[in-house]
Amino acid sequence: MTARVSWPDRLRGLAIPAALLLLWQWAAHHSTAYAYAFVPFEQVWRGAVQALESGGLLPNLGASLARTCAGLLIGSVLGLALGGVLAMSTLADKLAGTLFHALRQVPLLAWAPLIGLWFGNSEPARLLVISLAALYPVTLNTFEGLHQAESRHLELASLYQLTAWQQFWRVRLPAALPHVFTGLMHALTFAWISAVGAEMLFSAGPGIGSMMLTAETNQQMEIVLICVITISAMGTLMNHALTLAARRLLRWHR
Amino acid sequence: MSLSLPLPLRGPHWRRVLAHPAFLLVSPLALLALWQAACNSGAVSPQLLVPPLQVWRTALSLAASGDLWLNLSASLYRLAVGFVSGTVLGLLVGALLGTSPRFVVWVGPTFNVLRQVPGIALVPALILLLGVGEAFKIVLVGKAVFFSVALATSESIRAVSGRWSEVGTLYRLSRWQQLRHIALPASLSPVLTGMRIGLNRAWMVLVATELIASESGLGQMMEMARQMFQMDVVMVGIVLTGVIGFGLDRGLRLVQRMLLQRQGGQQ
Amino acid sequence: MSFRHFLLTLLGAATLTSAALAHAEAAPPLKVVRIATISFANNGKVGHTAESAVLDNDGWLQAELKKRGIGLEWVPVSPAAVGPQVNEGFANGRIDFAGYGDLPSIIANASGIQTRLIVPGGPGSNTYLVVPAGSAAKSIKDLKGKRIALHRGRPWEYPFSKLLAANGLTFNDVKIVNLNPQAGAAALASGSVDAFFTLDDAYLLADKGVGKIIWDSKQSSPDWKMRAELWGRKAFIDQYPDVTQLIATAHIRAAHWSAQEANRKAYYQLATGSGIPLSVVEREYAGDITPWKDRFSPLYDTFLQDHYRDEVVYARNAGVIHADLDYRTLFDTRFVDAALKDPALAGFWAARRSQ
Repeated sequence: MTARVSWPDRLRGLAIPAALLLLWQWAAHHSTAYAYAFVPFEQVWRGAVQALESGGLLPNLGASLARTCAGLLIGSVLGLALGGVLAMSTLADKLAGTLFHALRQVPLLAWAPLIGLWFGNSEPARLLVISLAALYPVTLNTFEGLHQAESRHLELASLYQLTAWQQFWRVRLPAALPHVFTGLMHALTFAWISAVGAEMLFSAGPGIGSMMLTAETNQQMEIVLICVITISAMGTLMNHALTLAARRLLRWHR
Repeated sequence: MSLSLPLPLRGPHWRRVLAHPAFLLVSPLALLALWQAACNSGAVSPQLLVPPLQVWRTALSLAASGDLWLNLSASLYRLAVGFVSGTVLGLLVGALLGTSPRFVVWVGPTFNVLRQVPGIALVPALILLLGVGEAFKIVLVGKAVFFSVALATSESIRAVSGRWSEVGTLYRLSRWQQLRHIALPASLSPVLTGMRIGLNRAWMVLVATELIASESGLGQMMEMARQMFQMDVVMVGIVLTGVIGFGLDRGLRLVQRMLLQRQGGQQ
Repeated sequence: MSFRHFLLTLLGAATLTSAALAHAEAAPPLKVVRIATISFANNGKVGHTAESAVLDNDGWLQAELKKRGIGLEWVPVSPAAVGPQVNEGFANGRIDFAGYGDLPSIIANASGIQTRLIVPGGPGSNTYLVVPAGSAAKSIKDLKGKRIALHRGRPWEYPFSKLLAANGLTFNDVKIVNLNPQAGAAALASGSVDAFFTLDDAYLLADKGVGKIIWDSKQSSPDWKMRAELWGRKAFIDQYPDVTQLIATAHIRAAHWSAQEANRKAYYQLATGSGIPLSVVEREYAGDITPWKDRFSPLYDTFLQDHYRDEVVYARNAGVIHADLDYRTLFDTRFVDAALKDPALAGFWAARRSQ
C-alpha cells in the first residue's frame, strides 16, 4: 500500500476527476437551472476568497474541529470501556448486547427530537450526538479485537499462569490494538460527519455545519460547495493523519 | 424485579443458561421496565417521556390506520433497491480495485475522494439530475452501501491474494482460477461484513434523506411527528428503526454464518 | 469489572438520568431569563433576527433586569427547526420566552405544553408562490392537479391553505411534494415540481433566474402572512409576573421603535443579520398594503382573535393537532395592557378588525 506512485500514474489518476470537473463546468454554463446546483468555478472561487477574507470559514472550521475532538474523546473512551466489558464478560455481552446492537441501528438523526427534549438544543446535545457516533464503531471493533486474540497466545498465557488481569494487558489488548485503531478510524469519520450534522440540527453558533445551513437558507450555493469541499478535505486529511499515526504506533506489531 | 444469579458464574450450567435465546431479551425488557418505572414514579412528565403503554397504543392505531405500513413499505422498498444495486456495483468495483493495478491507477484517487463527500451535501445536485422522485433517495442509499462494500471487497482480495498467490503459482492456477478458487472464497467473510456495515449506513442515510425530502417513509413520519410534537409517534419510529435495523443486521449475520459453514464443509 | 458492578453502574446512570429529567421540572431560583431566538452563523458571527437585535440594541431590558440581579440569556435556535426546538425547550423548561410562529404555538398548547401569547406582533413574513422561470402558469388556479413543493408542518402551511381556499381549491386538488426549502429550490430549478410555496427566499430564486414569483401575500389581508410573536412559558409567567412584565414592556418598546417610519431603514439593516441580502429585505417589505406601523401592533384586537380562532380550526381539521383547543386560553393580555398605560405608547396603535 505504501508503494510509491509514479508521476505518470498520478496524472492518470487525475484524469477522471478532471473529466468530472469539466463536466461540472459544462453543466454550470448549460442553463440557469443547472447553474443553481452546479455553481461555475469562477463563482466558487469568488465565494472562497470571500469566505476566507471575511474570516467566516476558519473560525467556523476551528469550532467544528474542537467539537469533533471533544466528542471523539468522550465517545472513544466510553467505547473502549464498553467494548472491553462486553468482550471480557460473556454475561455482560448477553445481558446488554441486544440493547446495544438495537440502539446503534437507530439513525442519529432520528434521536434529534428526544435529545432536544431531554438535553436541550445546544452544546450538550451536539456533543452527545458526536460522542455516540464515535462510541459505536470503537465499541464494536474493541469487542472484535479482544475476541480475536489467537487461542494459541492465550494457551501460552495460561501456561505462564498469567492472571486474568495480566492476560488482558499482556496478550489480549496488544492483539486487539489494530482492531481498536480501525475502530478509531471509523469513529473519526463518523464523528466528523455527525459534528456537521449536529451543528445543522441543534441551534446556531460557530461551526462549519451552521455556516452551511445559513448559506443554504440564503441560497448561496457557492458557500455551500465550499463547506462541502472543506468537510471532505478535512475528513481525508484527518484519516491520513490517523493512518500514519497508527502505522507508527503499531510498527512493533508485525 | 429481582435477578437471582447462580453463584459459580463460570460453570457449564451457567453457560447453558446464557446460551438460551431468551437471554437476548433481558436488556430490552429491563429498559422497558425502567422506562415504565420512571413514568409511574411521576417524577417525569409524560410530555418528556411518553409511557411505553401509550407508545404501544399509538403503534397499534398507526398500524390500524394503514399509515405505518405505507411508511414502512416505502422505506423498505428504497432500502432494498438501494442496497442491492449498491452491493452489486460495490462488488464489481471492489473486485476490480482488488485485482487490477491499472484500474487502481485510473480510478483509485477518484474513488477515495468521492468516498469522503457527505451524501446529504449532494441532495440539490441529485434533485437537479434525477428529480424529486424515488431515484435520488435510492442513489443516496446505494452510495452508502457501494463504498462500504467496494472497500471491503478490494481490501480483502488484496490481503488474500498476497497471502495465497504463492500457493496459486505453485499449483499453476490461472489468474481467473486464483480469483475463483482462492480469492473469492477467502474474502467472502470480510465482504459480508462490509455489506453489514453498508446496510447499517444505508439505513441511517435513508432516514436522513426522508427527513429532508419525502412524502412517505419512517423518517418522514418521525419528522412530521416532531413538527406536531407527537412524541409518541417519534418513539414508535425510534423503536421501529432500531428493531428493523437490528433484524436486518442479524439476518445478514445469519447468512454470513451459513455461508461460512457451508464453505467449511466443502473444504 | 464484575457483573454486579456493571449492573449497578447501569442502574446508577439510569437513576441519574431520571433525576436530571425530574430536576428540569423544578423551578430554580431566578438568576437568568432565557429567551429563544432564531440565530444564524453569518460571516463568522452569530446573527439574530431583527426583533431580537432591536431589543438587544435598546439595552433597557438588560439594565432593568440587572437592577434585580437577573441576567438575560439569548438561547439560539436553528432556522432549520424553529418550531420543534422552541416547543422542546418550553416542554423541558430550558427556555422561558420565545418569539416564534403561530402554528407551532398552537401545536404546543394542544399537546399540553402550556404557553401564553404575551405580546402579539412581529412583522409577519410574506408568503410567495414561485413557478419555474419558463412556466406558463399565472395563478394558483393554473396549478390544479400540478405538483407543488411545500415543507409540511411549517407555519407557512396555513397561509397556503388560505390561498387554496380563496381560489376554490383544497389540498386534494394539488399534489403536495413535501420538501425542505433547500430541496424545494433545487426541485423548482430542475422543473421536477410545478410550483414552490415559500417565504422571501423566493426573491433569491427569481434573482438566480430559475423561478418567477406569480403571487405574494402583500395585497392580501395581513392574515395571510406568517405570524411570529412573543410567547412565554405559563409556569414561568405565573411564578414571576414582574419579570414577565419587564420582558413584555421591553418588546413593546422595541416594537414602538421599529414601527417608526424614521427607523425603517435601520430596521432593514438589522434584518440582514441573518445573512439575507439587503435587496431581498427591501423587496419583502415594499409595496405592501399592510401599513408599516401595523406590522408591529401588539393589540389583542378582533383581527388577532379571529386569526387564532381560524387557525386552530384549520389545525384540527388538517390533523395537525389531535385535541380540541380553546384559542381564547392562549392569550394573557395583562402585560400588554399594563405596558400600554405608558402615555408615550397609549393610542399609538389602533385596533383592527378582520378583513
